[in-house]
Amino acid sequence: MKDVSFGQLYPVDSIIHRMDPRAKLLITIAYIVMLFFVDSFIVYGIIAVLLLIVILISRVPPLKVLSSVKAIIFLLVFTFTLTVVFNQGQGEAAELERFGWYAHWGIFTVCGSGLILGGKLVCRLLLLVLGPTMLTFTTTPVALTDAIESLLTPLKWIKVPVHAFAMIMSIALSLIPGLMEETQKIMNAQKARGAAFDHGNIFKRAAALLPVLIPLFVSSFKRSDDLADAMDSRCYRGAKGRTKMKVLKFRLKDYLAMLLTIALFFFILVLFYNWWGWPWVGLVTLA
Amino acid sequence: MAVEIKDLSYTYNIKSPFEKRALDNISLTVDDGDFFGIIGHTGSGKSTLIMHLNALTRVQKKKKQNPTAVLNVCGIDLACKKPDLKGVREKVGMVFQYPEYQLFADTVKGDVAFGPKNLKLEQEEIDRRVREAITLVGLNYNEVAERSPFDLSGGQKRRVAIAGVIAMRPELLILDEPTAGLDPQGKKEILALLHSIKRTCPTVIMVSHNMDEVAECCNKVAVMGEGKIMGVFTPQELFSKRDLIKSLGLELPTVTELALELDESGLDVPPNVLNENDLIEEIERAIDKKAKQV
Repeated sequence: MKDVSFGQLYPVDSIIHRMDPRAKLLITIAYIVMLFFVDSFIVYGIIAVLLLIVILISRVPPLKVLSSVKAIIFLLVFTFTLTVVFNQGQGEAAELERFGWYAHWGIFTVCGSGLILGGKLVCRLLLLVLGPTMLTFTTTPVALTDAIESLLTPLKWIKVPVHAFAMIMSIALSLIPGLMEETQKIMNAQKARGAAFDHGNIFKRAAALLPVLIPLFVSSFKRSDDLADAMDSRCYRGAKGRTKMKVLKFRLKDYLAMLLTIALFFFILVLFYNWWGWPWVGLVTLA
Repeated sequence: MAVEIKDLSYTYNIKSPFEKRALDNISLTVDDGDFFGIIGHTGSGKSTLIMHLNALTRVQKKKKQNPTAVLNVCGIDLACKKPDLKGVREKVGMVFQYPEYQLFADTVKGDVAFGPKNLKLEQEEIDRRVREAITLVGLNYNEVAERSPFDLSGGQKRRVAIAGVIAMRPELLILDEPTAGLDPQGKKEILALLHSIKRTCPTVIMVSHNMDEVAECCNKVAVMGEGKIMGVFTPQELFSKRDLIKSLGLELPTVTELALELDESGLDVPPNVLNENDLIEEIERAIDKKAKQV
């Protein structure tokens, strides 16, 4: 559990860490949307280089960012294999003409188009994980919830309890480390009493988790009870009259970063769709 | 020897900005029959050390750590690549801080039986051990056996949790702050309990903040600071080293503190008294002496 780096702040100081969380969130959303528009190795490469530049500026070690991929490695292999094996391309004749080879066993087929499609999917998934990982590496959970609350403010006009949602989210996020620690402690205690969590079939393993889950639930309920008391005794009444200690403020660099993102987004779209029929663009995307 | 440790180090989050050296070349032996105390400030490495003793934390081998480390507990080598985990969990009983948080079963009986069941004992033997352990921790078996552990009071829950460990009949019992968070009465009861446990379990190691407990129970005390062992003393020796105690941010036992103040204010009491009854005797003697002089 300790090795999962997805969703963990990497606390160094950098211009990216200091950016307004709303700007970072919007840029990340734009980034994700962009990935769904794009479908070419060259453009994926360009995006990867841009992402690498962001990583270098943020002073998070690139290997650390890359280690977040560990969590989805199974998904990657699974997706790739299925895509390759079940994709029949444009049929045997067309594939043979285009790539010069075509292999199939029963319902399984391996062909050039399938490999390309699988490769593209893997690239897209990788970039989809790495981008948001940069967001969580450079932004504290609290700043992130503040950003979400602020961006969702318009929903207040149609009576959506935005503040309550944000509060629930920030409490949930801040409880996760404690919960992990608690789980580890209880697992240790039960291991010390001879419990084995890594033996037997799946049912035995699930049953072996009961001595961990029950104390975990008990202490979670107790914790939330205590937290509710603590909030009550500090006169928490929801959003009414509540002020913020850290007021979010867009600065020049945030505007610049967002403008730059929009420009890049636009550039990449042009590169990919080539609306104006520029000759050199076609060369880039086809290569 | 119950425990033999040589050149043991441990670093958390090695090679990252959070790197922290928790143990720094520790060497320590605990003899059979010891009631061994480990004291030290928060973050001095006590918990990391005891987690090594039943292999919940394994001897760190990555990044060329611990090339010469020795860790033998109850005759089991834990520094090798594949230690006998089952054996060590059977021989070493571990009572963690706030052990009541590990209770899970629907009856007290079921919870205490969890350890013995994991040892794959016969049902009869399990029942016998459960009954014995619950009685040993000072609870009435017939009264509590079928109740839910969550209905008990804080002190009682802790006893049930301790019983759950004792029922495994460990050769070495490790307690991490057994009295933390209890009221004075509860503390007294748990301490009395420790004395009766000592009769059934040959060797006990106790981690503690509370110098009163250490002074009262232990025959040897290791002092830890910043991941190092600052020395192993008898309680008498330890509490006459006031500078060391102070420099580590620890306190003297209440009794010793009182004796010291009496001594300074002119009453002829030896300042290294460790328990209540001795102090009372010494005070009576000193007052008699004074009366005679007058």
